[in-house]
Amino acid sequence: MQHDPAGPPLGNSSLIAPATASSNGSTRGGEVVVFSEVSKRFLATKALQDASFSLDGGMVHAFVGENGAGKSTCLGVLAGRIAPSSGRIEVCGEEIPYGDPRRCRQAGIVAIYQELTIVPALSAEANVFLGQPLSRHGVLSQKQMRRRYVALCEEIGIPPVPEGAAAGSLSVAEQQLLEIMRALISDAQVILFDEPTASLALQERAALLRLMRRLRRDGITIVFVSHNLDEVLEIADTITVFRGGLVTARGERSAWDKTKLVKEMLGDEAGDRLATELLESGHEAPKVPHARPNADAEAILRLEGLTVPGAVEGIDLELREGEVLGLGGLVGSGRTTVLRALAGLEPRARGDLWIDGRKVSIPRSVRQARRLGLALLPEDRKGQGLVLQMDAMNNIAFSDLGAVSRFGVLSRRRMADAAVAASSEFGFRPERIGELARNLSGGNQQKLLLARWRYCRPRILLADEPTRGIDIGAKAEIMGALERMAADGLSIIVVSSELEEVCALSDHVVVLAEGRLTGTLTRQESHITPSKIMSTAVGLEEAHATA
Amino acid sequence: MPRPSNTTPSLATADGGDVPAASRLGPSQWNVRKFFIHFSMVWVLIALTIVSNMLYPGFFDIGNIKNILSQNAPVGLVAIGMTFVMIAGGFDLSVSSIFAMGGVAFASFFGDMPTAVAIIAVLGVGLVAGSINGLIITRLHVNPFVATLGTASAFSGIAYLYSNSTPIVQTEEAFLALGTDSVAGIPISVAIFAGVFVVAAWVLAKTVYGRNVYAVGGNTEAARLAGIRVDLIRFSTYAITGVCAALAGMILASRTGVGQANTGEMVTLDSIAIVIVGGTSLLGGEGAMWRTLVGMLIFGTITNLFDALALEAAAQDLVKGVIVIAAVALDVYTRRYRTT
Repeated sequence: MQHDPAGPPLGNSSLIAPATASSNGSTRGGEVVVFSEVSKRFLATKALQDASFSLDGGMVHAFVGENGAGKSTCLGVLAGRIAPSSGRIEVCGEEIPYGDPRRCRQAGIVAIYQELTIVPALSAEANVFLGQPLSRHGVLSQKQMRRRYVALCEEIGIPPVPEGAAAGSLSVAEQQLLEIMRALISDAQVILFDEPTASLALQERAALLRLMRRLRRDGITIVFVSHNLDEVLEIADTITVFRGGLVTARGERSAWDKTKLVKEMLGDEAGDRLATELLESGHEAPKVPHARPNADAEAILRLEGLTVPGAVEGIDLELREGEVLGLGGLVGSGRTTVLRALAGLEPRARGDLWIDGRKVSIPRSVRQARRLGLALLPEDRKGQGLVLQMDAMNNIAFSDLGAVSRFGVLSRRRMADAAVAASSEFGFRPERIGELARNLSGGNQQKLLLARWRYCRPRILLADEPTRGIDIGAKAEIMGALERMAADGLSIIVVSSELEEVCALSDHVVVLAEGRLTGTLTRQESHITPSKIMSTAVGLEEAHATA
Repeated sequence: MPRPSNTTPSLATADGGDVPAASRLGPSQWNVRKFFIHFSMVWVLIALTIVSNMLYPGFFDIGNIKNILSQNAPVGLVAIGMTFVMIAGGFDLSVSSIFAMGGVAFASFFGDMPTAVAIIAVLGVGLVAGSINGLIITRLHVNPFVATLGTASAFSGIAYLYSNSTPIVQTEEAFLALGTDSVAGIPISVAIFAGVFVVAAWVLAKTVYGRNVYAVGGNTEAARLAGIRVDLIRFSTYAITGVCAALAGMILASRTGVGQANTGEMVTLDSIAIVIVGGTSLLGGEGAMWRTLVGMLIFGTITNLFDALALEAAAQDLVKGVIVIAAVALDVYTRRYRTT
């Protein structure tokens, strides 16, 4: 597994055919990327603190950690997407231009993000040569680009896509390959991957890993961020662990195994219990959280064999009145898809659904879902939740304007009263009820969405990332509010990348991985901790799974 | 919750604010600058009328005012429908063709059936045409721009075929009444416009339906997730516009005593220009019916002034074009100002 730094410099130059003779070999071995006390603060949050380390050339370096641990920030700083607050980064001995992705690209650092930058209507080769097309006297040399594209495909060992096929018609994996090839022809020395395999199928992952090995052999330095620890352990030469904005551990691949990685990512058991307790005391939740729902009571919602082609398969869930069910798992494990299917947004969803013991079909539209008492708190607040140019009270009330109107005529006063009543429970200040949604902070916007469902009272709330991107104080208020709503009899299914929150809220946690159910954790049986969720998600200890 | 005090001038209270109700909650949210920007087109209108009166002292005569209103009532009616469509985030290029169909149909139906029945039948024609637009857009998911560009051609073709490309002339009193008669000193066409305006403004600002129109235009996805029947709302705005356009075409036919397929070619552009100049956003989700009235009066005043000064029609077109662009540029400017 260990890479031999003295290996012969391989055909990097053959990959990079145009006149720009590559500086290959110079990147081989030795320290290519050096971070010196790099920090990044976003307002009060320290996304990255004093990161100092170096990455050797011609190796695969993995960054791991929980969401928000600082690994993506670190990648963004290196890619020039984020300007660091302080510190210094050198690549091949030269300080990089901070906050200027274009110049970083010119310096040989190319980042490939999850959101690909493919122009769908153009051909594969046109996408590969995007921004640096081959031309003669200003006229595109289509044939030459095609030839170079095919040659490059052969070199890296992938089949070229048929001539004339639009890039938009290709699979995500194929599109990603186009981006990688674009990096190669631009003479990239360092390629950064952000969750490169998150949206890929199994064989595609294998192909990508093969390609990464090949690039490494050719002397290219690869840095990648991944949640998939198996993958990390399979390909990485070194692993850097981030936690809470700090680099907490670094080491060669041989020094790690999965258990060690999970422990390091979450901190030790004691630390992780402490985190849970802090979180709970932060929002004054009762130490023994809300009244246990009667385990014998009939399930308000029962779902069997939920399958959405290409996303999730055979998911079973059960939810009782006033119960909070967490969906655990990593990004891309299918958690959001389950919520969307229940909210009527996945027309291809199949499976059996019972509400109050009555068999119903899986909703095909939002309105059907609403009639069943299911309401979605969407992940994307601005895109899917709010009408930004409307004021707060309208945003709360528009889910059911009938309740504040008579014969179709709105009553402003009733709307304001109802909106204030619903939102003040979440700590939203009544005097701001007339303010436009776009002028509110993320936390207050989320309170509006919660208030919307408080106002029209569904029986089951599907909360997707309810605390994403909001500050600590508002987080605590929202967590507390969710608990109170559950205590009030609302049943909640919650998805969150903040595992501590899932643990603090949930009576049960159903853990998903790769679209399948890998285990169920129940609070009554044992304390639910982030590490148990993570272990179940990565299939570390089946023993935790108590179906 | 204290009863919100009302600090805005009467124009706004007639039908609600721009963004529903937002601005009227408390005086604390209002400052001079916001107030000035919010009603910027009203100031433009006032300035225009003052200038007009200086250049042409008869401007404020009752007769002239009546003239302005009755001349612009048809296009104003179309603009009312267009306001619904545009706040819901849509666009309708077929209104001039529906307008022509309305005129042709009225002139044709008039001889064959009682006047009241003919009027209802013409409104039915508009409803069907608008519904076809709505169905193409919501069921076939064709972009509104393209869909109504297509139906504009198709409806126009129908009007020509139906009338054999010849004007249908009607000289009976009853036919001309709609466009030329007055009741209690108020032209019938102006009364119809006023009635439709008041109802439309009320519906848009005060009813559940109107609020849903804003929500759909402001964020379609959020509206859908909140359980609003997005397609139904969008469909209905086109149906409303179809009825308005047919009514407008009927009034013009009645005024001129002839129904012909080549009338109203400028109606599409003029009605859209009126809505935009009033300050309703092209992007949907923002705007108000009073703004459309202001837009109509601005255009009416300019036309009137140019006619009175006997300036060329071509100069009017030039000035109108400049005004539309200036209004949109101002909107973009204030939008940027708002967000930073």
